[in-house]
Amino acid sequence: MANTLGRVIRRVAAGSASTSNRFAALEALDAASAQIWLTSDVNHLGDESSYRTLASVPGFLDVSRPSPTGATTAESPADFDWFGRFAASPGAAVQCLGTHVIHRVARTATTWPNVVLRGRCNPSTTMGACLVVVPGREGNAASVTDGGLYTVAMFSTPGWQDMTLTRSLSDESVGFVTERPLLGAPASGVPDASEIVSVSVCTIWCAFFSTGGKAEAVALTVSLEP
Amino acid sequence: MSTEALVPDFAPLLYTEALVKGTVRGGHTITRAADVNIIALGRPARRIGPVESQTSASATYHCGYTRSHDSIKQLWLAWYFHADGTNTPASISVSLTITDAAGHTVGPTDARVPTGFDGVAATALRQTALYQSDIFLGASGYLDLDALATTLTDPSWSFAFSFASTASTTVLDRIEGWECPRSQVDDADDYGALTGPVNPGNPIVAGSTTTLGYERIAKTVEGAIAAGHTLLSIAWPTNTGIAPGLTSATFVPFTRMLEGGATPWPWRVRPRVVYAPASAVGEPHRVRYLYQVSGGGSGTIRCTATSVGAGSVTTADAALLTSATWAWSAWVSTTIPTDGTDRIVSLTFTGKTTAGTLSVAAIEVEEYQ
Repeated sequence: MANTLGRVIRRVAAGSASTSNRFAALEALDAASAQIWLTSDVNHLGDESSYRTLASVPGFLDVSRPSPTGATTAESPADFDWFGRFAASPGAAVQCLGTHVIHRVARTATTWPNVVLRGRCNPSTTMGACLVVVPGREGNAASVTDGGLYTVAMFSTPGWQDMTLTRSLSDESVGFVTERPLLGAPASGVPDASEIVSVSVCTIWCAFFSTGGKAEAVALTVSLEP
Repeated sequence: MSTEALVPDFAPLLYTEALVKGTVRGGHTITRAADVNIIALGRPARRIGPVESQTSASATYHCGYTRSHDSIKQLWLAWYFHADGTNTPASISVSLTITDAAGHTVGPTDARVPTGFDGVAATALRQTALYQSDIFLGASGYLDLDALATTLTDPSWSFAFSFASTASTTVLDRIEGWECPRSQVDDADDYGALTGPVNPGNPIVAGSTTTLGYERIAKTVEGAIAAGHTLLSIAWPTNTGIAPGLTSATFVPFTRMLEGGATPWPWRVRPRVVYAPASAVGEPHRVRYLYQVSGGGSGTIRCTATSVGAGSVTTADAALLTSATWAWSAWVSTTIPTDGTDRIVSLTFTGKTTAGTLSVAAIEVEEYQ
């Protein structure tokens, strides 16, 4: 990336009396190497702050529920069961992976990161997989029809293999939440109000089906990545 | 004490603004402060779970948590459940107990714990269609981290969520939580650089780490570095019939975290680069486990980090695990390689025990600069 070394330069702690502290009083504050280092560091940390791991769950040891539409090649979220509960039979495999704060890519303000679902799968015959992004923190993946909000994939090679589904985000992928939190639950009266939380969020779901036999989809992680 | 609204837009920072013999200007000093505020205060990356339900019965899940730094003030929590369609709606509750590594506790009825995490049973909403298991919000709320820290003085916290339901068809869906981005900058906090004092007409100063000026910006860069990522926050019920376990005297994968044979599940994540790009050694992290050992055994859990493609490997052993009841291990320091394809690294877990069964009900892996 431009204007960064791509790493943080180790420096003495802020406030240090060392003459290596270029920002201390009586050190030159004019444009110089310290300014360039600061530019580089902040740009790099900004790049890194756009990406992180959002979720990590065990996943499903029993993916045996077929597609509710009878699909053998998934095309949309409608081909998946988004309401199956744990221990349902045949084995349902749907998980909301949480509501998360999403930030634009720091130095490319018109760009959003990608959501990437990674895991391992072991199809018995053919396994369908779906990753859905629901704007905001309400709603269910079942209602999503916008092709920009989901990714589907089929896995039909028997045996353990990597599973990676990627969904690029856009302005339409997030909803905006602004609220003033009420903190705790006092025995009487109204909880204390605190600092306003104002964030862009989306809720991430995944689901799987099997066209026959018991498949597995495990060690699921969801990350924001470039 | 002075405060400002946190500017949420990351301004471009260019080397050309900082040429030797150029002039330090208020404008580019302000953009440096605004940008580092965003990273240190506006983009925290520590989280709780999300926890995936692993049973249709009542269960307790533990998640570890450490605060990014003291300038992050609030944590959002929520739990969700699957509704049932019977004519007798189930009664459900979640009870949250937070403890620190020194044994201090904040219980579910503490005034700092939000309503809905207090263990008080409520009638569950019913599903809208007979064979459909709608997912509903059980409760959500915010925690005041400063208020909790007055009791939980050790920085390593554990959140124990006990879900109870009177019907096996009204089950937990998930528990989740994350640190809230700040919306204001406060010079009473450890980190956060006010921009107002460098508006045109005011001098640009070195200042100090606690007031304003370039020292305060440099201090806030340290806050940005401290805002490390949670790589894994995984929880199983504290039930040895569900949580992964093993009985081997040599390193083997855990059952229920095993592909088959001797291949453990690989959890693929992307670490942050701070100081060491594309490095086989990588960045400092640490790992801990909620575990128990039956039969008087002494267990060891090994975390192996392997960069995808490059194949660089680091390992970290949590040894001498002897608790016969569920307990957190001590933190074990490790480094995680950053030289993988797309910077992806695979984390696997194996273990051994001298006797009995070694079980693990939570794994927490976090960046630790």
